[in-house]
Amino acid sequence: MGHSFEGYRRSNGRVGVRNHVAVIPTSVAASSVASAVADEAGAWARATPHQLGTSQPDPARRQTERVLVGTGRNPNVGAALVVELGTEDIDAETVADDIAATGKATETLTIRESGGTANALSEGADRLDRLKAEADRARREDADVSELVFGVECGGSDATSGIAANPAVGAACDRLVEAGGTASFSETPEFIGAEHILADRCVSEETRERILERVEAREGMAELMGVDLRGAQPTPGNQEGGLTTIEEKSLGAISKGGTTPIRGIVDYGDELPTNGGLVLMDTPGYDVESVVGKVAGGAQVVAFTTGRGSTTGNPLAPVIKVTGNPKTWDRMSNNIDVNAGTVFDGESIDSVGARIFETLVEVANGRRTEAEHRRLEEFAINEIQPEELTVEVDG
Amino acid sequence: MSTPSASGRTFEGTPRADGTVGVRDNVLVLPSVICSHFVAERIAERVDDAVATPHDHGCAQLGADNEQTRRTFLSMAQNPNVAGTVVVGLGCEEVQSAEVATALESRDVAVRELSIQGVGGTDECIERGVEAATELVQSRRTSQTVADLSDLTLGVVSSDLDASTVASADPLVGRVADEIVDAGGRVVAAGNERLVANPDGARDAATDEARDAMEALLDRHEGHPARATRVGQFARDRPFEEVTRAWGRNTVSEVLPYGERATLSSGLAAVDAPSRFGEATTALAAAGRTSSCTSLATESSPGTRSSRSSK
Amino acid sequence: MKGRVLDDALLRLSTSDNVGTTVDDLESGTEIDADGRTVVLAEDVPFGHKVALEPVDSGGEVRKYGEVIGTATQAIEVGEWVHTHNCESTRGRGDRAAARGESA
Repeated sequence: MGHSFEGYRRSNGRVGVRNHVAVIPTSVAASSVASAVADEAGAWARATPHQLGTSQPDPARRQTERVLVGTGRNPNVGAALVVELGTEDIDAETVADDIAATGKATETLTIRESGGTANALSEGADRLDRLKAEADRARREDADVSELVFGVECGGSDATSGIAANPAVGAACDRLVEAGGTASFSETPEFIGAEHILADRCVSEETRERILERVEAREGMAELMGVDLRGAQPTPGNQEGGLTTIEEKSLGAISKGGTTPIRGIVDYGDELPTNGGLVLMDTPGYDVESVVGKVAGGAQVVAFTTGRGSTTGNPLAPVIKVTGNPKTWDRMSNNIDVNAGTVFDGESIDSVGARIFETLVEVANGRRTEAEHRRLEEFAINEIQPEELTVEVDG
Repeated sequence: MSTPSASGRTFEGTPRADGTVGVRDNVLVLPSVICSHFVAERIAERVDDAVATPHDHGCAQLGADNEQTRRTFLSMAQNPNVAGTVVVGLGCEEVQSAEVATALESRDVAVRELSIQGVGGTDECIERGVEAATELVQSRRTSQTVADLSDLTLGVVSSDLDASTVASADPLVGRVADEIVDAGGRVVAAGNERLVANPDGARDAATDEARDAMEALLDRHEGHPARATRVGQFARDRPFEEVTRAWGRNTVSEVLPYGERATLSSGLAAVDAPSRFGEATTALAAAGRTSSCTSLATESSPGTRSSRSSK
Repeated sequence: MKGRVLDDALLRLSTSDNVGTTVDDLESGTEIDADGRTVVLAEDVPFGHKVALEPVDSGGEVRKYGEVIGTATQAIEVGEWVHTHNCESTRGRGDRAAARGESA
């Protein structure tokens, strides 16, 4: 089997596996219009509605803006329309310019300047048509798997996640890294109890210290709130599935990144390198926000393991669902792409990893995942909470 | 020019078992977690008079955050504009759909519950959800009742402090708020930045009964930056009276945590919600017992998905 | 799969583990040959859950993946189901800090 695929090469050198026109609202106030414009246009237009962006404290606003820009810069995006109401702290022009720096076509739409939502919808439709014409100039061309940034995620975990699905996805990550690509996993709360293993695998002291510091910060949130992390981790579904403690969940979770050295850790939504090996991202444990962070970082394809059966996708990056639980596969195969539960019948982790890697290449070549078929496109941006922000005395 | 008087005005609404009156008669499709958000939307799209309230929460929140999410769900489903609720979960989340449904049942809310994992996937969940929502729509009481302004709860949020808002829109809405209270109705107001920026004004505006709760709200935000940053900044430079004009002239006789239902029989309640429109209207719909009105800058009013149930 | 499946019933992920993971729903009384030692299930244990392969003292370490996943909150006998009722995390315990008055 080849290690190449056909993708959309962008001016900045990154390669997309889809050629969507993104419709990106700068705030919740423009989200409904963004969704309506995209829905009206057709499946080639993908909206990323979210709840943030109207007015946020500075660090939180910067994070929102970084994710919006990263979303538009993702190579699966052929062109982007940035929509604002016109009263937001985040400026659509700035976001559009930062996206356009990758060489792709962008336009903006300001609802207030259009004179209300009805006019905005028709102006938005015109702009999307122009953007589609630009995006359509891209053709699939030869690309190498080493140009892939593969985000991996786990959600709705149970005991099979750490035994079957995660190690199998990890084996696929190992193959990709060996071929020269980038794999990335995240969800820092799910490093708790396994951070010493991650620390031992870091290529540099700097990365090692950074990981330990991020884990401490996430664990400190429980302390800050005066609560027991067990109130949220593991979740009721995790526990029903046999996971007793966060340590157990984490030890299973980290295996989805494979076994190669850890080359770095980036902030939420920050750009992930190409040809980067295994790189972590510091994200919360919320699945959707975590996937969105990695897609904003440039991941073209995401693998998402689930024991209990999570069904979430993403508007811009295909999400490959993998379960290691044979019962979940039987019950929910409509929502799941790869059955890793076969390890309980004797298939080796490496063999399942090979199947996942092949699925990755096929999906990169255009094969649609179950979440794409069903247009399951959950999108949410993590908001830095007031407790995490330093006290502003008079700012 | 004569000003029409509010007293004696009536409207036709839908009577609820608890004695409240709805100004809409919708079935709520409530995802208990972000992961079931699309399924909830697809269900609502296929059933007339069904509305979904997608949101980002419910997965693995900690402590007070988790409590707030749960509380908001329960209160939203008890809004008199809601004829019944279909709770849709994924299955593994912190805020369990079955638990929410049980809590609602014990409060006499017509409720159906299903989870994606429980029924075996999104396709099946949408089909069954459509059936459940259709059932709830069909079992609505058809009778209407004549109600007066004492049956109304008006939600008020002013999402900015721009000059035209403070000069025109806020006082107009404040006038309506006063009329409603004069007629025996309730007003619930969001915009905690305005209170936090003017703690002395906030204390003075609270009745004796509400003073402890007001103090607790001020404590809770002590040292934290305002969610609606600009509102917080502007509010510091202006008198309390000026930044709360949309609330009317009444004293604050109840202070509600985010997502809590109002208990006052008449008068003004302040809700611990930011001035950010989506979050504010969600809290107002949860607090309030009927309609939600908004005061906004200049001409345009962004509708948000999370506030659909309040419209 | 990493580790070894004992008697087609329990997966021991590392030789230093004192718990095994069930690879099927198992009933109370099921006898499992764990490397020459017989483990008899003291109760029904669902698929994916843990069973003690060795006795654990109250406060003792529970080990899976060759790592500590928590501590026993009571003494655990061989063959008992190990879960939240008798094993707890030692991490992210803001409740303990709050009890000590250290919380913000």
